Amino acid sequence: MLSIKLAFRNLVGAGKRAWLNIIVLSIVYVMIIFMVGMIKGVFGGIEHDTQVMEYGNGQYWSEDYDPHDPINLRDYHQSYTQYKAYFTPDVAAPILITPATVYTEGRSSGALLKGIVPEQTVMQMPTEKLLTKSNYIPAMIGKQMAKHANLAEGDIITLQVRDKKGVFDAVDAEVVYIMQHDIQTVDNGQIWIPLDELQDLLGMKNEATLITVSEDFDHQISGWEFKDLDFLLADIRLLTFQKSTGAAIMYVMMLGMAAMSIFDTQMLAVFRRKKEIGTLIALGMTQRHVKALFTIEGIYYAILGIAIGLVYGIPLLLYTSIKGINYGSFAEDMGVNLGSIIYPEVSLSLIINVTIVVAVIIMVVSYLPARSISKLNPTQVLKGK
Amino acid sequence: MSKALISIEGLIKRFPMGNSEFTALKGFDLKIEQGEFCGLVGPSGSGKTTVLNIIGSLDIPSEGKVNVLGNDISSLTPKAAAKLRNEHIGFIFQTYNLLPVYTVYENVELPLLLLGYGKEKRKKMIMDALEWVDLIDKRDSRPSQLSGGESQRVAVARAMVKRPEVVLADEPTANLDSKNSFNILSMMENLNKELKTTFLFATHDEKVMKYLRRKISLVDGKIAKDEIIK
Ligand SMILES: Nc1ncnc2c1ncn2[C@@H]1O[C@H](COP(=O)(O)OP(=O)(O)OP(=O)(O)O)[C@@H](O)[C@H]1O
Ligand SMILES: [Mg+2]
Repeated sequence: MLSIKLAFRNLVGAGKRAWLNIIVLSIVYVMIIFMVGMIKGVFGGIEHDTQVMEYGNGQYWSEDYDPHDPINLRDYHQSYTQYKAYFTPDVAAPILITPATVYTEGRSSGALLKGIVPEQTVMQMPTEKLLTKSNYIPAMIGKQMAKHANLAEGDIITLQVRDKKGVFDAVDAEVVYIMQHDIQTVDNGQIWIPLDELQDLLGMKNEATLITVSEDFDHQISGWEFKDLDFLLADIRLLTFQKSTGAAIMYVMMLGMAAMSIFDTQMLAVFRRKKEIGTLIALGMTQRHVKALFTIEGIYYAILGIAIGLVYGIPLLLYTSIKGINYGSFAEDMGVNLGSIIYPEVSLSLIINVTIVVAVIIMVVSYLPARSISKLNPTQVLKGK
Repeated sequence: MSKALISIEGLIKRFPMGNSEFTALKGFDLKIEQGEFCGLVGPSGSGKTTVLNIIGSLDIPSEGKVNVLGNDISSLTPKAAAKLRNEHIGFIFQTYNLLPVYTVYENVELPLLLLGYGKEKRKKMIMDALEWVDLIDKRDSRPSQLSGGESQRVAVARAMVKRPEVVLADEPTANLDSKNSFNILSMMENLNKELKTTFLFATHDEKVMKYLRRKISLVDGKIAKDEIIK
């Protein structure tokens, strides 16, 4: 009890240096929670959005389909005629994919042309926009694609594809809608048109590259490979894990620096305050008692740093997780293409975990310098040696 | 059995010096009775501080017996030694050794906190002690705001506040001018008379010697002369 009281007096008496340490510690503490929450917010959001937007409850892939092999993409398609009866728009959405060359204002570029049933509700993409009346084939693109290809709604583009037999064909399409979400896997380099139009164009009636299904789809379809969400989201999850581990390491290093500064302060204190230690011993303290005093003093840094961090951190974290923060460049640094508003995902368990890590580290760096007190000779330290 | 407050028999103290040893105290006897106002005098390096440290249970004899208030210094555990210092011994140092972050009041309070006294009791004892040294009005000052004389008076109050049996004062006037030295010494003399506290000084200050009623001359780790004055 006495040590607790005296340690507090020492801390208060130590003035600026002590408070500087405490404030630095509190900032590091809040930063760690904030940044980890940020990463979780970014990727948690992407994972969820990607799922509802693109993957439904999983996909059936045509044999050998490999999304990472664009060269041979034209070959991955197969007939679903025998199952067509089950494919109501609310449970299954066949998608046909083919490479295309897009001509806009005399420039050409490669893109993936994807055919989808406009009425489908398996994916949360606004495919109903493909029902827009047009003199051309209605096409839908994402905002990134629109930006890079310099396209706006109402623009006419020419799409060149090779049909089933390898014969080149070209059609005009009108950009009827630009999607405003941040899911890059349905955006970058992709053009969505009605499935039947693409099937006609390629001469692939009732053929698809893959079929996205909803939870309510309960038929077995053979000859297609089912890919569940764990498989489909694995890339994103791996990225999340890598990014958050990387960031965690970085912030543990930051924490290490804050800890070093406290270690330094306490180590210095043990040397600078040798005479004081000797005096306390002369007044009737045991060396263990003095050691406890210095350790508790260090623990106050942790408690106060965390407490102060919570006082301004919690409102700050709550505010940003509700309002989101504009962090466009942060997103680019993360190597993902995102919207500029991010909502940090700060949970109680995250706060508790970070608090424990911070507290343990500070206790260790407080104990280590104090430990050396036991090795001091009281008559020597009284002389200040 | 002698009833002496402090009794020393055949005290030898050696310090390790590289590979060999240095003998600072070379074997002597000494008895100090309750209420004495005495001092160890002698040239620098003669062993005065070493004797005080051993009596104060901050150090132990290499050989011989040192008994303080019935405690055999050689056989005290660190905890028992701390208890002896805490309950019965007051220290005064040349450099005052006040705790810089505490106020005057808090510095004087510290020994009482260690004794576990309650708040009211502490307050009364602190105010008494501050009155003895005439520092009631400086109770909220920090050591850095005090003069040398005031600092040493705080140190006297801190040593005396718990009314110990023995006060060990190592060169208490070495950093003070003569006016402050006499001031401090007469305060200590009064406390010695009023409270029957035993004072043992270590000094080579002539001013201190004028107040001593017993002068123990230490030369080269041995008692050369032990004279009662007045
Ligand atoms: N811890 C130690 N290790 C080695 N030698 C020591 C130690 N402490 C004291 N000594 C030596 O013992 C001798 C006596 O020292 P002490 O401090 O008791 O002298 P003193 O009489 O108090 O001197 P002064 O008047 O200068 O304070 C000195 O020669 C000193 O160098
Ligand atoms: Mg000395």
